[in-house]
Amino acid sequence: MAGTDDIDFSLDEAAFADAPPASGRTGASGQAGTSGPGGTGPDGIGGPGAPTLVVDHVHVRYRVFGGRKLGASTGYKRSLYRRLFDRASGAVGSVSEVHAVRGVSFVAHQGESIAIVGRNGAGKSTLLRAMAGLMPYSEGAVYASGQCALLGVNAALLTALTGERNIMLGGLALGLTRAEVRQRLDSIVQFAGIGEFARLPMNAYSSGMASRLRFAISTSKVPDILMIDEALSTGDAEFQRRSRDKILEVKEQAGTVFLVSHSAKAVEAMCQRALWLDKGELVMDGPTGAVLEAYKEGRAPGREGNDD
Amino acid sequence: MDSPSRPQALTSADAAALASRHGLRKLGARPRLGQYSASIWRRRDFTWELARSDAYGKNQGSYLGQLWGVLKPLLQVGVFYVVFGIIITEASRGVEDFLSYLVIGTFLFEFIASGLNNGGRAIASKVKLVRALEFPRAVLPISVTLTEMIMMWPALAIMVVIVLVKGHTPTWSWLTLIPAVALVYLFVLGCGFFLARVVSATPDLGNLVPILTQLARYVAGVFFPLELLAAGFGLLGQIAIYEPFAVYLRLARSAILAEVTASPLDWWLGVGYALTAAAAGYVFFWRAEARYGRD
Repeated sequence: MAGTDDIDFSLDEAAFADAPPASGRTGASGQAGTSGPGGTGPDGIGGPGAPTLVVDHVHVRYRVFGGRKLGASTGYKRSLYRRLFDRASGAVGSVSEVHAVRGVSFVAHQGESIAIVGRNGAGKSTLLRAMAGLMPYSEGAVYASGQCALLGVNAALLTALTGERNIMLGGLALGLTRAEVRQRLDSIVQFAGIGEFARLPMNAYSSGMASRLRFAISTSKVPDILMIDEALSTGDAEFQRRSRDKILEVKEQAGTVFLVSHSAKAVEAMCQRALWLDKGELVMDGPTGAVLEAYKEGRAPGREGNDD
Repeated sequence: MDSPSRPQALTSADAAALASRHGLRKLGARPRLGQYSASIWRRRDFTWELARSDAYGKNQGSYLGQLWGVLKPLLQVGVFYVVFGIIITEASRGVEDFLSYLVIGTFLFEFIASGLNNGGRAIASKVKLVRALEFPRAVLPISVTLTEMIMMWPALAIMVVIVLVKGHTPTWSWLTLIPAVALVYLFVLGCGFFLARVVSATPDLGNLVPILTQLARYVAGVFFPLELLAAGFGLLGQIAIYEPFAVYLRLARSAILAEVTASPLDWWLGVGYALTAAAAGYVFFWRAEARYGRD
């Protein structure tokens, strides 16, 4: 498999110095590389505070077992041998490597809320996981301050257990003590709005309830970096309002919020800065309005017409 | 303000400098062994709660619920009674109280076998948790082994009841069951660390673990007195008598049954196997800390 969808990224300092993913394609607008030594220049993207997260040329590749190998020929004019071989290789010894994030770099600051936009499969969720330290990256580096909390649609807790037990488990995993979790139990249940369901196993929950509970647990200890992966989309209006308050709380406590969402309204309401990810590459990083506009029109800076 | 339309990248060296200036830590880097151990200790409540919840969850989803924790080993004893007490009576040659012998052996071995099987899948079976929360991954093999331990308690209690019913009187030697079980736990944990890393790198090996534990079940003397049979096999027989599974079964049985004796060598070996497996397994697992959760 190796090599079919992999580009060879040499970690050459000189080559990377002024070749960020997007501008590298076109030479863009001539203002590159003006940042002074020490690298403080690029944090000036409206960042109000000290950096909380530094993402440096991160690549994420993950293994997928089974299934047809990417890039295997699918045409009709294959030899019998080829067809048999391809069919067998889908079931035996089939490992594909997905290169989901390709050399993303940026710096996030205290008090910033940053949206990550892009089409399905652009690598947004994978990037979030790598930034939260939950998924190993294969190249580059992520530096973070304090504690990251990632809220995702599939960040499941143990569904066979009751909500209360999941609250205890999640709280302990976040580094709270038993007493602290017990103290916050009622407020977490209340915030999640699950009421009596707290005593039932989570597999009895609606998807909205489950995601509300996850959100409530993950934010029971105010994290330094909060990452929300489309988790708000399943909540009702009341819950979305409460989540927005929580996000503000994180920002006020000098934290950073990342939001992956397909709702332009949510993104515009909550984030001043947006990153546009396409096919694993960061194509645009700037104020939300400008990025969203370019994204809607499929116009990446330095990319003449996005092909669909 | 910079041009909004173009991502700017720091050089790697600048990024590292910026990060260290603001006291950011590098994610995904393997911590030093001491730090790692300390962070596991800080998550001890989480480890225990996870183990307890898992043990609880395994018996959920039925009308009798947690009662199955007791019913399953009890029914197993019933099967033994029928098979070895009524049908295959000659298996018990050389052992006075074969039922007690069998019950102690099986329940302990059951713990070892499922500890190894589930230990191998410790990362794979919790991959959602791995992807949702950041914690030292060694917590998973530890908690999986604890889960098996918790699930073994009802079986141990039943075992004691059966032994009492069969007319054995408690002596001080019964207390040596505690260190024996503790050694077994350490040994299984060490193997679990090893298997968890190996299986998470190559999932295929997860299918071999049950085969190997099945082999162990038949050669370690769970169903028959190994010591009598091994005499005819020379060196191979000696190895069979002193391999870890056989040693631990002997230690546990000697605690309860007067007719089984464990030599000081057995105890030394038991301690040696446990400490070696636990220490080597732990370090082996830790070395791949930055790679778990890749699939």
